[in-house]
Amino acid sequence: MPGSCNSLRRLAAASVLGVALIWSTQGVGAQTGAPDLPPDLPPLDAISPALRSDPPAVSGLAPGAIGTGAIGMGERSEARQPAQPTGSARSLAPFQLQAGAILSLNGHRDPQVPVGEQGPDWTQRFDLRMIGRYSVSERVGLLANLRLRTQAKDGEDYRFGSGSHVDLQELAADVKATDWLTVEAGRINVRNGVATGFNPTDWFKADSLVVADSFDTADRREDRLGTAVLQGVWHNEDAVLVTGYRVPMADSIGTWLSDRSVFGQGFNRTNRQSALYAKLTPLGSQNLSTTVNAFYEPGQPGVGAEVSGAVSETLVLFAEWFAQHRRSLVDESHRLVPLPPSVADRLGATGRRRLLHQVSVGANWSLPVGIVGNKDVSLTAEYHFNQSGLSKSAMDAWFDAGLSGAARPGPLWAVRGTASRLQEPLSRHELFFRFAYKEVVTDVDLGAIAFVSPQDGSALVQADVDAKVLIDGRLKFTAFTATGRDRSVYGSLPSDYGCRVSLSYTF
Amino acid sequence: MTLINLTRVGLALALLAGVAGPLVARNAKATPLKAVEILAKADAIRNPQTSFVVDVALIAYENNQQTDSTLVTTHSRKETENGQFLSLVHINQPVRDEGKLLLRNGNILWFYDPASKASVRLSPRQRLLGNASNGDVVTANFALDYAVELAGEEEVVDGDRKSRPTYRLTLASQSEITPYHAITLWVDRNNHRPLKGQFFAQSGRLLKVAWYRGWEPVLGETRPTEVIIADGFDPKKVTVMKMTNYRTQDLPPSWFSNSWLPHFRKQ
Repeated sequence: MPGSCNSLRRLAAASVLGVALIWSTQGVGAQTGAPDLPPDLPPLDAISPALRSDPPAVSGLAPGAIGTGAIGMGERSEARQPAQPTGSARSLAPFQLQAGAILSLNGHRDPQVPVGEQGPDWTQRFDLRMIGRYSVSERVGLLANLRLRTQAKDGEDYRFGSGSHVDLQELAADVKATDWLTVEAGRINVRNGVATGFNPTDWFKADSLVVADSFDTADRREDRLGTAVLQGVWHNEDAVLVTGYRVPMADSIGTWLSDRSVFGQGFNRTNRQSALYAKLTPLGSQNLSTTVNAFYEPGQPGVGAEVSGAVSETLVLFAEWFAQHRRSLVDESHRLVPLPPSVADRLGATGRRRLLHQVSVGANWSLPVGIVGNKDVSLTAEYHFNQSGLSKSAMDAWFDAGLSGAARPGPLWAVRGTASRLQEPLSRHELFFRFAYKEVVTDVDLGAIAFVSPQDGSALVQADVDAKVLIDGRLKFTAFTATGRDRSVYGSLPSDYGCRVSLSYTF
Repeated sequence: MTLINLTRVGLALALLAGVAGPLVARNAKATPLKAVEILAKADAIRNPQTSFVVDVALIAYENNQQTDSTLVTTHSRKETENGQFLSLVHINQPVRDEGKLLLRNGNILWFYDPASKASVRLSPRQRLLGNASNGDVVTANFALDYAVELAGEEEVVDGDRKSRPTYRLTLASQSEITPYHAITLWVDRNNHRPLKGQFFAQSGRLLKVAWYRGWEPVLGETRPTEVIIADGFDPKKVTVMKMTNYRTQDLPPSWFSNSWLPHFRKQ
């Protein structure tokens, strides 16, 4: 496996270089003398308006009473308002207004199994997002995450009407019915899971993505559509219980609710059928975090759990599991885009639902003081098991079918498209790594992720540099490459390499 | 995903923990009573001994120039069983980070981003990170989690650059959830106010130095409302915490669960 060996060598070299870089920038071992005197700083109030300690003007409370303990313990000081610091402030209170521009460049390869049409060489997108929560009253709030995006791409004439879309990623109301019950209704991004590369318990990830600028699951979560639900959140001194109902919306619901127009909201994808769900998180532990959950949609019940705990000052272990009566990736794809029966058999299709397990287990290691000083450098490693994915023999069968012409490329690539649509690993076994180095220099972060197939050693690697611009802006540069043999999970992707630059600002 | 600058947010954790009931220190039998009493009194001055909410401004300096500022609100619930504090920090500014949350419950540390609705479990060390790295400088439950000895009496320069007679206490960690392996704390001999602290890693490395100042009446006690924190690795990097608008508030235990974070509403 020369290709895979090279990939691993490159990853290893990058890791060594990363540690060397950290070491060199830290001057590890260089002892700094302890200061004996407090720093002679300029007068604080003259420097930052945010430091003003003038009590806020509130009704019903004498200014002199603030901070004096005049209000009794256990009593909520309703009359007091939090200090209103100046500085960078929202221009659209109570909502944030975010503007962003993204330019993506992609390099393509000719995969062994031909793909019908390559993606565009470049895309350019502009986003305008409004996000936040408005308190209608003490008990009622309105949550919104709305986005207008317009996109131009290589090979297409840009027209605002056809290249633009309005996404209601979230739009919901919440009502605090009692001190122990909150009811939420509307489109909400209901999300579960403790792992960072793949979340088996994240029920509503399927079909939720409308744009995919990054391979990083963490980035993609910000771009997904919520689900129309009615849910209640119960909490007491022992646990937090979330129960909900996903409202079914059929494909025939019209252009506005489906994704057939500029204002189409894709409910036909996020709310294809009804579902009930519950999630229980017991309280009490000061280390273990545990959540158990249950999910039911007609014919596809599932149960799952997640747990995390620190085993040392620098190491956190976590695991996430979900078992569901469902179709495998091949069966799901075969149902919609049929494969020749003999090929479907070789890929493992059974034509029926069965109990399938998915697992993410991993560790997050924050490098200790002895190695990186006071820098925030962390490594995450995860193993993903997807019983609904393709085994090594099924993956070989996929290549054989494509090369021999036993199946047309369309249905074959539909299998991979299904994995992407459901946001699950294509192969049964997958490794995931994340490297994060915060504040390499002031306001600049470095990050990298890698998805590695242990079945063939291929990898998809993405690295980024994220820098603060002005007070509330970010400039981010991202590059990725897919490496491996031609007959490998990632080496066979039509995307060879690419990069993107994004600039965003929050008003 | 952008992990917020835990640096400064961690600072806010500072206030959370406050001190647990000073007189429940479990080291009382094993250490000289006087040292424990001094530490307990200093702890009770550093933080209110009840559940409370406070606004915190975190101002970062480098070479005496302001480089950054963050405004947060910390919510600290005092557990009746063990005197520990649970903490939830809400970021108010910069605008870009508004609504992000940091939860600490012992060794449980979660970061929540409302844009992605994702909660990320962090290691205990990550509460300390960044150039300000301050999270627990004033957070630690000293009397509960450290064995204390009276190492001497000496004059020390306080946060206002005035010389004060102090007790020098040396604290050694006795708990897995303490952020520092050892602390040297100088406490005013006249009124038991904490004036200065040095915080060390397990390797013996000095991580940070803190001075307490801005003494004001707060919730029934004269408390420090400013903490100046110098980075032990680079003393040119300094963070100032300024606390305002303390208020007592009943805080349900369920708020301090990662499952509650998507449903948290700013008070």
